[in-house]
Amino acid sequence: MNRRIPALLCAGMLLLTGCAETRDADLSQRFPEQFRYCFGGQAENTLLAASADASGTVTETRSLYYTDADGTQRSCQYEIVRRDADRDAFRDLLTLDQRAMQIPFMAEFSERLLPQYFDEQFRADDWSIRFSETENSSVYGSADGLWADCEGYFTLSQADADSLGVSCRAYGCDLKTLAQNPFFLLHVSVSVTGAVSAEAAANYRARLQALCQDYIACAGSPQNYIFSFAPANPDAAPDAEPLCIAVLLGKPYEGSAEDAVSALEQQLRVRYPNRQITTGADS
Amino acid sequence: MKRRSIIPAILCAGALLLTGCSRDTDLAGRFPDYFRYSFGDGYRYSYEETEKTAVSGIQYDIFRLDYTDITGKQRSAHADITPYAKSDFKDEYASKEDYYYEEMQLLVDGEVDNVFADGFIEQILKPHFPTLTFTEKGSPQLGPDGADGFIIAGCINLVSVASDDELSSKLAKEMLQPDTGIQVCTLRPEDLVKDDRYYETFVISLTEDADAAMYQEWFEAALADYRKWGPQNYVFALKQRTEESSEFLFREVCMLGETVDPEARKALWQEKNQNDDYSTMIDMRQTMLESRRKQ
Repeated sequence: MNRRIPALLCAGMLLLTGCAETRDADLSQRFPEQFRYCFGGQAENTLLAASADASGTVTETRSLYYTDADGTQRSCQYEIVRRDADRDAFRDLLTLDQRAMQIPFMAEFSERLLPQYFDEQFRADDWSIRFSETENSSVYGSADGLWADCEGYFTLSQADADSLGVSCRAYGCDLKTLAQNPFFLLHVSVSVTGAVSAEAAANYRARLQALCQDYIACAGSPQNYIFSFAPANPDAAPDAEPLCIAVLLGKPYEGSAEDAVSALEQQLRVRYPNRQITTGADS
Repeated sequence: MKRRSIIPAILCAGALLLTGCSRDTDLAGRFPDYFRYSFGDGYRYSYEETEKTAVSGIQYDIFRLDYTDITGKQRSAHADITPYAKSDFKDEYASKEDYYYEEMQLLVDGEVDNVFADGFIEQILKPHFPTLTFTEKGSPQLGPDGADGFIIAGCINLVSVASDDELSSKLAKEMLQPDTGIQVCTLRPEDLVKDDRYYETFVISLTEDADAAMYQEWFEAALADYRKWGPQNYVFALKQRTEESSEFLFREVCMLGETVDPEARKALWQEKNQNDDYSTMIDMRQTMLESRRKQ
């Protein structure tokens, strides 16, 4: 009984403090338990810079270091706004967690699987993992009349991500862990953009199929993925036969890549009726 | 005097019972027979209860397990478990029992993965792929790894993993019973692959300039040794990317209890679906799932 009273007082104080003044954006101090869970006990969260705009909103630039499943140290730099409300700050923590989960995934996929089949495209562009405003991760590159784009995103809105709670954590995450998360989708899209012979187009198409096989072998039972191949316009490789290999929630999906994204949204809504599901796509 | 000493004892027992009841996530207490069976008499476990966070309301227990495997190696496993009553996902389970079965299965699956990977690397890969290198920590899930010239991708899976149907729950219960389930402390990879509830996938991808003939020799030798284990369900594939040809896969061996001809299955699939996005691995998993559902 005695242990509970200070805990309750503490919770009340946190909420009051949250309402009363602007809080520090150091998530490791604000939510130490959850931070430790998401990024491990050895994670480091360092302030690099802070700036304020005319309205007084303070934005901090920070770096995060944590360890993935392989024991490899991963890092990311991120910007974070100082929030008054704990609820908003907590969503920032989950957003950061989702981003951090994608780093070992994309690194493993891009460094080891992708170059086996689309080396020229990624060597030419000096690729790196990029994050959009919606925290979708992507790597892309182009060469030899071909555009290759690999995007990973969570099909769960931020408003609902907090209810995921401990189901997501970057600490110890790897390709297999994230691939088996029902809310995560990998979309690999290869497009013929220039003058490419029918033979070369068929070769690229076969490379994509081979890459897909490697991904399945690595991830075991990946939940959601789309591997699509198509000419970018009717003039580019008109003879190239489009391809779409899609699996949603572990089951093969017959249809186009565009339809697959919305089909996943619908299937997730059925499976998780109380959650707000989005495509997570930037558009 | 005697009566006085009994009262605290009764109180203590009551407190223990209450504590026991409140510790919902005690997997060892929840599955005592299976724990003794699967992890041996000498297993030890501990808990760390995290504090409930003020904002998220999330609280979870860290369950740590230590046991000795069949080779005498000390192994550790851990699971972070949110109590059923506090889980946002509880409505997605038919019962509290189902919820904890899944938590338990995740713990066991992790150990099965690790034990299998260790044995497979030592007994099958290392003897036949002398240039194989691993990251410092090894390759616990047989993730992409290798050396100049090739990468290996592969893993072992329980057929129902990540499948969203009744089968998942049914098989989890079967796997976690002393008479029908998996015994981790005596687990050897060569026994595991005989279990028809699992399937294994391995793909060896050669780089463009790799000596395909040499690697095929290594591949065949590894496959021959693997077959001596008597595996039930697996796909072994060898591929190489070339500029000239769109043919990547030049060797694929598939077993689904009995040898399967991947080309014949592909032809059947194409006939039915009018396209060629066929995958032996997906086909195999779907076939196994359908077969399990009928049982």
